[in-house]
Amino acid sequence: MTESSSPLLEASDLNVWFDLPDGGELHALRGVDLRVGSREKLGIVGESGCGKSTLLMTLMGLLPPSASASGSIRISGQEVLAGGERAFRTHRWKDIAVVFQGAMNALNPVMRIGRQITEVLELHDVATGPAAEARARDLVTLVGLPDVILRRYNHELSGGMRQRVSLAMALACEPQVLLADEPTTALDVMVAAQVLGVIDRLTRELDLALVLVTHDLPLVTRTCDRIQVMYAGKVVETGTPADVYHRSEHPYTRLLFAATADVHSGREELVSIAGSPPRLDEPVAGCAFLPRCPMAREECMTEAPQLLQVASGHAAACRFAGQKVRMS
Amino acid sequence: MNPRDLDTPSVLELDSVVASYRRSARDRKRRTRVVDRVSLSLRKGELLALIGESGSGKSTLAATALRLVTPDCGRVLFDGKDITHSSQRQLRGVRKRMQVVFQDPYEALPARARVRQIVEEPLLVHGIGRSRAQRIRLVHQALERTGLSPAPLFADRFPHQLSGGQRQRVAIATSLVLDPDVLIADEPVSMLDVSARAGILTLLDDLRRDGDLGVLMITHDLSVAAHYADRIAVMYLGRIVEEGPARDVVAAPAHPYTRALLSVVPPKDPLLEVRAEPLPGEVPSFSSLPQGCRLVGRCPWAVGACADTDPSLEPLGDGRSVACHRTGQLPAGTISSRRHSHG
Repeated sequence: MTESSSPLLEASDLNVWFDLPDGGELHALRGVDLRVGSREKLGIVGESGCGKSTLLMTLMGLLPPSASASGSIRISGQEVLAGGERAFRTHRWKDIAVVFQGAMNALNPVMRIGRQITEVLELHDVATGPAAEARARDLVTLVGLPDVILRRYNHELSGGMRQRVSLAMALACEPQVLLADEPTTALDVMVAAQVLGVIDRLTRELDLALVLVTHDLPLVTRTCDRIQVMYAGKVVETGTPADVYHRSEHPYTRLLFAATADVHSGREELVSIAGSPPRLDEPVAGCAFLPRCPMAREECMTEAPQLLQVASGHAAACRFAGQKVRMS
Repeated sequence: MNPRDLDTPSVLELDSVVASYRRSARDRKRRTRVVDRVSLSLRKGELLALIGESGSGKSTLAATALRLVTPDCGRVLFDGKDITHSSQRQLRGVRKRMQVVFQDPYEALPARARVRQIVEEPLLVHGIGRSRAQRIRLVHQALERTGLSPAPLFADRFPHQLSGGQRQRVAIATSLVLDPDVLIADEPVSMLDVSARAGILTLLDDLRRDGDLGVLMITHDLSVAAHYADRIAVMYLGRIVEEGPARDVVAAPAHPYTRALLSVVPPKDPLLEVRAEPLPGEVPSFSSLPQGCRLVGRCPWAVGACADTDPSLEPLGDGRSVACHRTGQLPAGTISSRRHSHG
């Protein structure tokens, strides 16, 4: 990537700690890097507690007061993490927007959908009066809803319609980057596929960059250009979908795929990954995946593995990455 | 015993069952049919997956099988015995042999009880075990069968000290301790992390292979069903639209709804191209059912007959049944094709 095409969103060495009630700290993100260029679709995948949602909230500057963060976040080239809330506010929704899993439950139950959208437009000085109403109509059309929806209330809509409305609201200020946290997990499969189709179309029509956070591995291999697999607050592997599926270099990635049921791949036996992720309220010595890893060696206990590049754009945080070591 | 063997006796059988709910508390006459003329049988040692989206009636069907809902018409048979109109007292013995595992292992277990007490509770309810020592022995056996070993160690724990997968094992142990003939598992892994899912599914698989236990697994996840089930029954708006051996249903779905469901599930392999072809629109509500086939407004292959008459579930001859007017006329398109390797 050349200097002139600097990434829309770039984070480096992000660390996030949450204060715990007992006085301790939970180290939720442990040095995460991320880059998203124009029209790129990045998938962040991992199991519960891996830090993927914390990462999204950090990128939006929406961490709770009990959290502290270090590192750097640059939106359109400008540093925002150091600038605090004031810096985030100049970019939030305008350059970078987010859709949540439960966003459809966040709509105001006593305000018509149309008014909720125009309110967003007024709040961010995008448009007022009839111009705002016209823009609201455009937005709902954009997400594939009929404009009668503007006169409806939240309870009159299905889950899929609500998720489309929250998508329309996220797009109100024409952001360049859309973050989506499990945007279809709460939906039925058929409706989820429709909503994903809309998101995919929007990335093309609006030149949107997408950061899709999910636990659903097949979903990101179908949707995204690049994948980052997270484990215990770190990125453990990053690459194209073909890199991480066909040429995976991290044992966790391989096991995660092997644990995922796939209707299209016959009845291969699924594996379960014994054990559970380490506690992040205590320091993690060595590799965090070590207790569950089938190829762990003594060396893994002392040194935390760094992301090792194995090919262009493909890296894994395992000391055996690129060495063709087989899992036992 | 081979569960695919058609001679294996059914342990649970639903025969043309209709179940409905009142439309409102005041209106006693108008009812909404949520399960409409469904026939289904679960054989001993079989794992049958009931697939459907929310609102398809799959949970009501399970409640009818358990006789928590009394059907309007049709029959429910347990181990050959008609229990359609059995009284609550008569059902007690049946319920002991027909157990349920729910979706959410975080909600299903009481927080302040130890695993030992949780698994012992059903024994007390059903008056099993002459002494405490005998009950504890049964509790330990049940825990060991679910893989919570050493049992005395896990028996001493509280639910909050267990992982999601371990909690679901405890929930399964509370069923197993009664040595049931049927286990109804309602979305048993959808709340669990991917790494814990295979463990629970393999456990259910092993349990039914070890004995005569029939497992009815209710799920929205076609992938999970394809991996573990002997047979799959697909429900849409209160009707079973396709039923048959899991392998065949998944390899060549015959009903347009099953085909669409299969297409929207992405493959793991990014080089395997599966075109997502979701049906347009959303599932209509039970109160505004189309007159003909229930899929008619959304089906890309609908013809005139589909709008007029509701197709019945007809056998195809290979152990499969399909409810579609256009059976045999759909293009034999394959769902997936291998993309040219580009990496």
